[in-house]
This record gives sequence, C-alpha cells and structure tokens, in this order.
Amino acid sequence: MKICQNIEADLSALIDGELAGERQAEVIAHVDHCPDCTRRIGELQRLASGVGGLPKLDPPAQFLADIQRRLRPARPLVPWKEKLFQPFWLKVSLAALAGGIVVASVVWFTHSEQPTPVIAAAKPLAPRNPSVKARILPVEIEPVPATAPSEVKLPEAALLTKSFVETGAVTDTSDSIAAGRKLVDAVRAEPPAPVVIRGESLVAVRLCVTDLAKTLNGRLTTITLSNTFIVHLPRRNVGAFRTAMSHLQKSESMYSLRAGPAPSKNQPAEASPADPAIDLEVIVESVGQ
Amino acid sequence: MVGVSSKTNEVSDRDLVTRCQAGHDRAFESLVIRHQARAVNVAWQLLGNREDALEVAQDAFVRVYQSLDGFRGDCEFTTWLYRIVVNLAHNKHRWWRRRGRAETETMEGDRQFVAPTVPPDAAAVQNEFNRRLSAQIAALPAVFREVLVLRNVEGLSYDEIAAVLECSQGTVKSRIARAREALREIMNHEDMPKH
Repeated sequence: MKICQNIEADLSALIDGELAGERQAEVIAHVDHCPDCTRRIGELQRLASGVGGLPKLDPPAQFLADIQRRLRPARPLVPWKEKLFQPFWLKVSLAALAGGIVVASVVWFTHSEQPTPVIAAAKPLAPRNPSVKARILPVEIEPVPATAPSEVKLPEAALLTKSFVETGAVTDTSDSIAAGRKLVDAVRAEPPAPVVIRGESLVAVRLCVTDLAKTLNGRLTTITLSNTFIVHLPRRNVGAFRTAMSHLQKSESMYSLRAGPAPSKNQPAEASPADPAIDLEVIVESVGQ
Repeated sequence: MVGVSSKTNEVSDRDLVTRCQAGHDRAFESLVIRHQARAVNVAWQLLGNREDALEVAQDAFVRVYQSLDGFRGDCEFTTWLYRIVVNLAHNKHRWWRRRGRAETETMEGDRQFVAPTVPPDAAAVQNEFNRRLSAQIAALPAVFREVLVLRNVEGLSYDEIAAVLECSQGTVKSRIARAREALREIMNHEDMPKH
C-alpha cells in the first residue's frame, strides 16, 4: 500500500517519540486503521527494545590507569652517545686506552714548547642568535691555569673524547657511525638547533678543544675562549668536531654547540670554496664547578 | 545548543573541561570516570569485540586529553566524546575490513548472551535472538549501526544524534527508519521474542 510506504520513516519516529503535532496525529490515525502498519510497529518496537537490551560491556577497573599510562610522557630514548660505550668490555678497554692517551698528553703538555691554539681573554660575546639569548648565563670565566695541565682533573667523558678522536674508535662502532653521519648530514643540510653538550668544567672543555685542535691537524684554526667559544673550522670537520664535543655530555656543566653565521673574511686559508669554513659557537650555559 | 548533556552531575562537564584546560589533571580523571562506561559501551556495540572496544574507548579519551585546548564548547562534552568514539570505531572497522576480518565472527565470539535472571527456556530464546540480532547489526552499514546504537542503546534523541554525527535531523530519522526496516526484513518476525 502506497500510503504505508510513505509513512515508513514516520513509524520509526513515532515509536521513538520524535513525531509531534499534526503529523503525529496523521500517522496514529493511519496506524489505527491499518493492520499491516500496526503489526509493523509492533515488530519495530521489539527490534528497538532488542537492540537496547543487548549485553553491555563495563570498563575494566584499570581503565583510567591505562589511559593515564598512555598519557604519561614517553620515556626518553637513551641517547646514542650514551649507548656508544654501553658494552662493558668496550667501556673498560676504551677507558684504559684513554688513560694511556691522557698520560701521554699530560707529558706532552708539560714538556713541549708548542704553542696552543689562540685562546683569547675572557670576553662576553653577544649571542648571535636572539632565540638562544635566554639560555646564555653569565659565566665567571676561569683563567687559563698557570699550573701544569696534569693538575686538572679531566672528566671521564673528556678522556673518552680524546680516545674517540685520536684512536678512531668510532669506526668500530656501527651505532655511532650511523648517528654521527646523521648529525653531520643534518649540519650540512641546515644549521641545526643547538646541540647540547656538557663538560665538567670550563678548563676541561678548553683542554678538550685544544686537544681537538691538534687532532684535527691544524684545521681548527681559531678558538676564542669566553662565555662563548668561537670555533672556525672547515665544514667537512664539523661532524667530527660535534661528535667529539658531544661526548662531554655526561658531566655537570652544560654547553651548547650551534652553527654560527656566514664565515667571516678572516676565515682560514685552507678552506676551499667547495668546502667553506663554518663558524661554530660552543655556548656555555652553566658551569658546574 | 543541541548536544548530549549530563545534567544530573554536581560539577558540570563544562566546568571540568575548563579545569582540564587550566591544567588540572584531576578534572580529566573525573571526566574519564564519569563517561568511561558510555564510551566503552558505544565502542563495544559498534565493534562487537572487547579488545577493540576498550582500545577505541581509551584512544578516544587520549584524543580528548590531547585536544582539550582546542575544545571551545560549541557542543556538549558528551556530544564531542560520542563523536570521537564513533569516528574511531569507524576507522577501526575499516582497518579490520581492509585486513579481511569477518565482523560477525568477532561479534559472536566475544559477546556473552547469558541472562542469569531469566528462566532457562526463555533465556535460551532470548540468547538466540540477541545473538542473531547482534550478527545482523554487525552486518549493517556503519551509518545505520551508529544511529541504532546511539538511539536504542544510549537513548539519544534525534537532535542529539544529529549533533554527534554532524548531519541533519532528517538524515538521522531516515537512517534509523531504514536501519530498522533492514533489520526487520532480515530477522523473521517469528524469531522475535513476544513481549
């Protein structure tokens, strides 16, 4: 019956109480005189109550706790720099090697007449990037120690840095190679956000930097020591420098390393146009000692 | 404003949302405790699988927490929550369909149709009816299943359903009618328990 087909949606709305006024009266009047629609309404009502009566699922007791667990900040991944020396045998052997190198370095420092790279007097520099201005704290610069460097206790991380660079240990560690390459690629593609590094003291960092200057075979041409280290070096050495410096991270003080502005006019002579020099700033954020 | 509200609560959802936005995690806990049953049940009725339902309900609250700052109160909190649950359940359904899982299998496998307060004979009939009804609801298109669950399980009005699904009231009316008609035709009326 055509009229029955026309009120199909209204029958459903009627049992839901969603019809009103004139239309409701019309549908009720039709149903009262139509056995088919009367039967159909009964079936629809039973279906509706059947759907409403289906078994429910209650949330388990730990439902809220599960959500809270998911909302907790994810545990930070162990930085690759920390993973690098995780195998105990590697740590011990590298530490022993580093110890030997340090002794050799100390002997070299105390007995050689070679000048260290240029280290300017402490002079606060304005931050080059306003966005990191707030992170630079006033730092009381330690004077270059008059005593022999052997009296300076280098942090373990700094020692490892030396061995890392001088022995080429990185070539034996696939994890560090991959991570180091990523870092170098990132630096080459685009000056990155500051890479935070840590050193036990300013002196330790300075020693490490001068050591790196030698390690990089003179390519590290200028070091200005203040609350900001300005390091000029060829772009191809940026990755090695960053990788080495980042191994100071375990100690107390915090430094950040970021790419500086375009090379100045007095950039090193050995930097070719194809591999221009880059300025790096080692920004001292705090000093632990 | 059309929306699904929980008016009987002492502290309104809106107040709790405002507190959440101010960084009070306790308020969020209250929202979860208050609405977890409906979120879980809607997901359960839409998906028919316990694990999926709990996962979707949890996802919904995680989504709520992460999006609270953007919630401007254009609708009731419960409307927003239902909308998220329905959308996530919809996504889950599509996810399973792409992987070829038969929806009715999970419905029948997971649901417990025992009604302990009903005499054994009647319980058996009711169980069989519920089982068939569940299977047929699971076989309906998602848009039909959603309106049926929101109407008959959650008891939402057509206006409220329209707000949840972001469609017109006429569309809701039409979908409910077509869904019931489809079920009515599939389910032989002889199988329906007489009340």
